[in-house]
Amino acid sequence: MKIHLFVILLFLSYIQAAVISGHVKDSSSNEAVADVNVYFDGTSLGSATNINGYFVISNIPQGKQKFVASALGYKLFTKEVIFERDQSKKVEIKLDPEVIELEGIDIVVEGEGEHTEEVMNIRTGQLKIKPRDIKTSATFIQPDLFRSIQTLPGIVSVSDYSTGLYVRGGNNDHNLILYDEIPVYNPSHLFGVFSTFITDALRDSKLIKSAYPAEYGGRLGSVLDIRSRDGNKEKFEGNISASLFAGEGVVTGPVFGGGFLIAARRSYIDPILEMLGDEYPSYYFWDGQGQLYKDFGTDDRLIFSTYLGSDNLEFNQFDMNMGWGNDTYALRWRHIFSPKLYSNSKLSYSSFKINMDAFGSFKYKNEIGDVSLKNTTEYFAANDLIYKTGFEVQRFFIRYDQEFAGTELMDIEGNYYIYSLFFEGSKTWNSKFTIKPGIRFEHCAILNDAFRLTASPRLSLKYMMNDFSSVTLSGGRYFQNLFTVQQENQSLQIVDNWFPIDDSVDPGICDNASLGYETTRRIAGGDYKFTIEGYYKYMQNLQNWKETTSATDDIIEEMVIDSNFVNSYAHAYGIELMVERQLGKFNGNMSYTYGKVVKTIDDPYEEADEFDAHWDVPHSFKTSLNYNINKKWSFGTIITYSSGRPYTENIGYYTEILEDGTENIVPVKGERNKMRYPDYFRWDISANYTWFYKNGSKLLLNLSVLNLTNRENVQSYIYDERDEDDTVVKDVFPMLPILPSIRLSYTF
Amino acid sequence: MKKIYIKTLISAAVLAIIISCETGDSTEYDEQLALYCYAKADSTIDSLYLTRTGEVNESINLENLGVSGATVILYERSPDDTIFTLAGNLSEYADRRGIYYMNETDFTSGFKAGNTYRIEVVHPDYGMIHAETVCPPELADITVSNSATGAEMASLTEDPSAVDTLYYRRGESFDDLELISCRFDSLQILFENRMASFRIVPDEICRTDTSFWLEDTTETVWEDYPIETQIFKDKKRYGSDFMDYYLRSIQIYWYALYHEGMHTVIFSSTDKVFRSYMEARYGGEERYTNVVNGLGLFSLSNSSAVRSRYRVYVKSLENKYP
Repeated sequence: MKIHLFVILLFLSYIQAAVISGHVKDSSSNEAVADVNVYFDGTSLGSATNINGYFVISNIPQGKQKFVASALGYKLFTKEVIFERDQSKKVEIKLDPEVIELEGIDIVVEGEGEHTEEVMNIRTGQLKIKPRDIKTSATFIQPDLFRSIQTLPGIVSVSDYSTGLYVRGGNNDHNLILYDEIPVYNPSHLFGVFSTFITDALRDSKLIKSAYPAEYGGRLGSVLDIRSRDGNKEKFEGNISASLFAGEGVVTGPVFGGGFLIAARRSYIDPILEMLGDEYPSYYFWDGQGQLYKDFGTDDRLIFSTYLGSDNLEFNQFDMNMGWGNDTYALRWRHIFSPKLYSNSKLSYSSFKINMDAFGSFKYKNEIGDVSLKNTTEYFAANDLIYKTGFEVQRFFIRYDQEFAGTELMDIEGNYYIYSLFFEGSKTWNSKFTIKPGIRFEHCAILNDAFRLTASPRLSLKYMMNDFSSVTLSGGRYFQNLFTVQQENQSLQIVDNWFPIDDSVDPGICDNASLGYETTRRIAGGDYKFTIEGYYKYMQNLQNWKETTSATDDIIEEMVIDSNFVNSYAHAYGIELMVERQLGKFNGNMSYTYGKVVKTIDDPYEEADEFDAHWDVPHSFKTSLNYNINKKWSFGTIITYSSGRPYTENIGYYTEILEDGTENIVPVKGERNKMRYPDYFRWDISANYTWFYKNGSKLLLNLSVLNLTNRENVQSYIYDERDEDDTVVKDVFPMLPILPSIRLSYTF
Repeated sequence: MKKIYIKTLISAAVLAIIISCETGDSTEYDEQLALYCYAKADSTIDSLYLTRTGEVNESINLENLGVSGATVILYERSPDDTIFTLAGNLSEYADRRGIYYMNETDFTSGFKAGNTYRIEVVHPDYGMIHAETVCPPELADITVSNSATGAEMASLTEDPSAVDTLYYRRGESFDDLELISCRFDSLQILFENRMASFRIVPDEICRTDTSFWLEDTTETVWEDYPIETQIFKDKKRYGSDFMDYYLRSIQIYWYALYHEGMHTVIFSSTDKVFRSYMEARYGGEERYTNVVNGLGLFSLSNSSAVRSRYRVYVKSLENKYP
């Protein structure tokens, strides 16, 4: 059936005529530019580029037409094009980046035709993060993609020490993180303090906060689609930067008729730690990212990309050696069968491994590997009709070992498979109303020789109220077959351990819907985008580690989820308000989010009471503003003010007497997550100065101060210290204090 | 433009007020009784600790929290009986507040394997709490070998004068150094959801303090090794969820041990509640309790049989601390 459909699509693609297709690129870096409006001035003919910068416009009338390409951050591209009858043109368009230091030039969507792209592109709950914005904003030592995402509306961060993302009430493991289409499982360094990706090697990133389309699957909540730079096939260029903690470099240029990119980063605090002696651990991490591509004619591109990263911790005092990291490799093939039929295939391998030896007798090993074959094919049937279909075959390998003094505590190993198939369509009527239905089927051959077949329907609707305002509605049902070990009393996960579900429990399910309104208004000479979005999620079959499960006395040899985890379900709902100005001397965004996550643990030994999840932050006010004084100077500030997170209070104590008469002080816990830490406030500032050199290179100095007011935000309370009166002292374990940082970045 | 800024500032102020209102509600504190009682088969109750919970900011040492004036009664029920019968009353030590004992003369039979025991505590200020457990059977078919020589060790039942010598190398022997290999009926433990445990107890002559374990982790020697000594203090116990350890080596962590001399190795089996308690203790902050209306643990173990005891002479191969 699938083959028949493919042949029909192929045939249809050849009988259409008067078509223009091609790729849109950045003129300086030669990188593809996604979501560019491409249209013919004065007509309703238009489209938008996909993630690879590709577009198609069909049904073009004979004669002279004015072609326009516009994108935020780029100068408007226009060109007169003469079309013969039934002519098909292939083009490559290069957009010049807008120089942001100049007087603010704002692109305003006005006039007929421009909104064609807008109506086709349903962006509810989507946020784009550009590396340029990450590098110039206030940073925690290093520019960090995940920390930048944490400043956006709808995203909760549970700690200054963590790059974990809690998106619209979803848990940290509900995010599908894709690096060049490869799933990455634990993308962090130093137990979550830094995320893994080198900012200078990234092209762009898109976060779909909820109700994501059918081409993605396997997670309940959101998708973070990170794309690395392709590599410049026309000239060599690069970047070297150094911060207080790590140094990194990126080189890109032409090779074998294509382009390459190599990026590397390494932390360099380990010599200092080693000088301090055995009382301090020695630690370093490194990352390597690479991309190599070659075009074969105008219709084929072969791309190899990889990410390698590793953390290494040695603590001689405890005889401890710990290493962990990600390895990813992908081979991708883009093929244009015809201007209207675009195909993207991928074979990838991704793994996360952690090994630990400690005290001479404790051994711990966790590994998840994922081999995936995927194809996505887009058929641009008409300017207002697009089909997308694809499949994915994934083989997972899971290993989890724990050993203490020669005794195995856990010994889990297994393979399992997920076969996915999806269909999506996008149809627009009268340049006003777009419907985008989709469905994704997943056949999951889980451990213990069982399998499950799931169908996840997705639907998005968009109505353009006028050229500047739209309403969108999106929703769907989502499944998740992999999850991480979660404990409600642990807000700070050191390392996430992934488990596949088995036949003892059902996969995680999330039904969600979101409704949004977006409008752009010109106020005081600047264009401001106002967004209001509401969402609701009902999440079932969330697995929580049984708090009464022994960590040292039992061996767990089989993956029996039911015996080690308890089921829970949660409701999440909220509303997000944001005003944003993307261009101009003064730009940035301000947002307010109201969001609730109410959870219930289905523990047979406990009363099933509702409680706020530990990442429930009802009120959140965030602002990120930048001011470009001139070509050389720019300033930025990020302010976050939010409700405190919930915690379970110790309301009393009692003396536990062990078998040998030893006394322990044990807390009497209050109601779960009933109390809240004080509200969170952090004000970060940054200043950037750029030196421009005659040879075209430039040097950027970034100075930033985190937590300018040195507010003591509470990570948790520590109770176990007794004072001279034998009373328990409640100490604050604080988040980051005031932290100045400096970074130099040289681009050539 | 000015109006926008003013509106923004007002909105931010309102939001700040809303956000700062989210502080949560405190949970009401109710004072409760906690009972801890570990007893062995064929023995009586030496110490039953009765304490109360303390509120936050209250002094929490055992002396302050000990509860006097309670009526503590032990009941017994054999597998054939349907009702409990009175086994005896416990008395409070005159000089140890909140610690109760049972005279051997009042409980001559001691705890018997297979019988169910129930402790009831009645106090005028707290009402009644109670706890039940079943006295476990002893470990069956124990054989123990000296791993260095491979020879089977004789239990004190077989030869009251038998002594084996175990060598350790201080500082290096924390690694998986196998000293004793033991075999017992693990299936019984498995099916009954109990635990097997062993401990090594020095003779009186080696002991300078009331507790061997505390003695071996004195700060003077081990102040630089807090984590290791903590691990050392966690005595080795085997769980019961797995089938493959019928023959299992035992590694004793000599890292912190600096007693040379005569010791007794005792193998014992625990009851179900102790297993649940240990699981919860390692699994999280919440403690398992079998005390109804209160907190704590009433647990029985069985290491009474002499055949589960072995005499060893512990000798160090070098005289230095790690």
